Amino acid sequence: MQALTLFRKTSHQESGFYALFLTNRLQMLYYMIVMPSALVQPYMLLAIVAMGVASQLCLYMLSKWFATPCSAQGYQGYERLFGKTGIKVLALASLPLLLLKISFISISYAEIMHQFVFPSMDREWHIVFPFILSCYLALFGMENMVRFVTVVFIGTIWIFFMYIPYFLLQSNSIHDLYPLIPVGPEPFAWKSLLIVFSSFSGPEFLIAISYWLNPQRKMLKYLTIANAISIGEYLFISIASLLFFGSKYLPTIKYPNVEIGRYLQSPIFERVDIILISAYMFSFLYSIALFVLMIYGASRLLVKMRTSTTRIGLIVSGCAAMAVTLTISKWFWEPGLQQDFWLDLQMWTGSATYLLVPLLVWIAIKRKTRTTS
Amino acid sequence: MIEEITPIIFWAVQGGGEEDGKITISTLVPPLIKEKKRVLSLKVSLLNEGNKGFNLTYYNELKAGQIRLLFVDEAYAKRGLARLINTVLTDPNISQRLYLVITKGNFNEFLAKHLGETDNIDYYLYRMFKHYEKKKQGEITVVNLHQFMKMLYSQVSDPQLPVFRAEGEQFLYEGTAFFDRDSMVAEIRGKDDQINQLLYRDRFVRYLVLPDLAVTLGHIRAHTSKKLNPDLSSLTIDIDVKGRIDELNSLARIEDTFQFAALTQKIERYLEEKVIRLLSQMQKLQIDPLQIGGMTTKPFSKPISRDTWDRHWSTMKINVKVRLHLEPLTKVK
Repeated sequence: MQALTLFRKTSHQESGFYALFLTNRLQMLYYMIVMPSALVQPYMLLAIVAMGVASQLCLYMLSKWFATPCSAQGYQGYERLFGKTGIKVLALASLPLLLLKISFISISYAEIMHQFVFPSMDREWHIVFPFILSCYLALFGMENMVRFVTVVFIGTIWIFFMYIPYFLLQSNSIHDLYPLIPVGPEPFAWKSLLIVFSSFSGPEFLIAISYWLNPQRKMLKYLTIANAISIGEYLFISIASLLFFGSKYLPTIKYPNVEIGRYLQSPIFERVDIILISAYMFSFLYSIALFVLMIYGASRLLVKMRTSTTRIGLIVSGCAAMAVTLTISKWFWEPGLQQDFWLDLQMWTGSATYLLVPLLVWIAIKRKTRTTS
Repeated sequence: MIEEITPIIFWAVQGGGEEDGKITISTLVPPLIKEKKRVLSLKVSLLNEGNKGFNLTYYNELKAGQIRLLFVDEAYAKRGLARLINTVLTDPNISQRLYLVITKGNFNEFLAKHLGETDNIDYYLYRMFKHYEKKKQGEITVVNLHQFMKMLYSQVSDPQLPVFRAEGEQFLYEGTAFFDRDSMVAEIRGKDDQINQLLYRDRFVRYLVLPDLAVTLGHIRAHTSKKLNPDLSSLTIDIDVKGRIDELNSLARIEDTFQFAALTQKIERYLEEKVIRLLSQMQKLQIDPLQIGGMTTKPFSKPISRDTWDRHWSTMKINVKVRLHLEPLTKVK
């Protein structure tokens, strides 16, 4: 039996499409379902576009990283850019961020499962089972995981088309989308802007796996397409839910996407929303698997392991992430106050990492080129 | 497994007038199985108390997941539906497509007359609403839970619901109930109801019966354009009606084009008058079941408040213009 090498790389062909799919799926993780009625006012549609443009700036900085030769060299590349201690500091900083992200998305998803699909089951089981599946996925190694994103993308993008009927409903009226600009003495929506920006976050984690993406100079093109698709999807879903509920009814609804799905009717199967929720699971599982692999990689950097990667190591990382998630879910995630706290926390960290990580890398590259030349 | 549960198709809620605030909730079991039916009826103070109580009086577990209709007594609706609707709305098993219906008369007695083994009255009622819900059927008002909630939540407008009367073995469509926020305040019937259908979202009416003019218009398709003055002082409604004359007491009256034009004009005036009467009734009650207030939102200005809208709406001048495009009669003698 050949040695298990989770982080091996065999292929060298160009793979811009993987980056495209990865960027898009990581961006569509939150708002699609978790971010409840954050964008209730019609004028927030403009915020989506504005934050999409801001996100494009971050992606531009990211593409600078992909354009350097360092990005294709894996560990050596980082070492040249940040130095040995720098990497350790970065790995240490990334661990809590990854854990928070994993916990947040898995608990949020578990809660939806719990509320709509299996109300009589404990929420914790909805965390344990996906984690087992994710660890199984992660065992296939990073290279296979990166390729698998194609399946995930095709397996979830169709949900988008399920929302088309909501544009044709009789009870819709264009007046539900007005006013388009904020009017009157409403509190400035900086927090909502932050939510939208953090819902575009996620691609910054691509830095950690750039080695497997076989980066090249054209990466910006793929990232831009992915970003445009995400903006389109967010706009589409927001407009659909505004038309469906109206801007006064929408704020009272916690999971607009799911509630909209419940209105679909099929002659064969009554609860179409169950299928939709299960389909969302695809990208959730995938992201958790990807992040667990990253946690394993980061912790290996920290403890200076020279031996090859092992299954046990990965499973231990997965279990650690699951333990953190279960702890938060069990004791620190009461609906209401604490849940809002986690949403806020995720919103802040998501926005911060999306802005700072590409910036940091960009500055490092600038400094590097200045010192070498 | 499946034999051990009984899905139910409707709930009927009555009462609420007593001092203790109790309501009577009833349903019919079993649905669709060829078995003697029973009316289950309980006097409770909370809706789900009834739900639980049914399970204790019947040998199967009743599942609300398939519930399709909610019949609410007129008296209950007049006191406000919000509490009832909220209960139904929070149950994740209950579909948003649940039809809401206001009933008059003794609904339980009507049910009691349909207890035969093959008489699936509950299912037939559901089929009826399902049929008329389709876009191009302007026969009866059909409103589901989601539409009701959307109308209720929209800042300046009010919901409407269909009204049925249970009378002996019959269940008759009476008209449309208008609501002020969540409580029923008025009911319209007959021609008014049909005009309401034309003005609202169902823009197709199969027959527009006008006994006053001894005329039946058929296959009516109306295009309504409503325009509000910027200062909310007047509302202009243009209605283009396409259709044909299906019935006329004396065909001799329209033998030549002059007479035909005269008849058309007469119907136009008549309809205009009816529309104005209906709208002024709404104005008097300060309700807006036609969602005209929704049109006050504009891309770049602040939405107006309910009070402001009520003030403008109750004094608004209404101009109605009906244009009738009737197909000329052929092959009649």
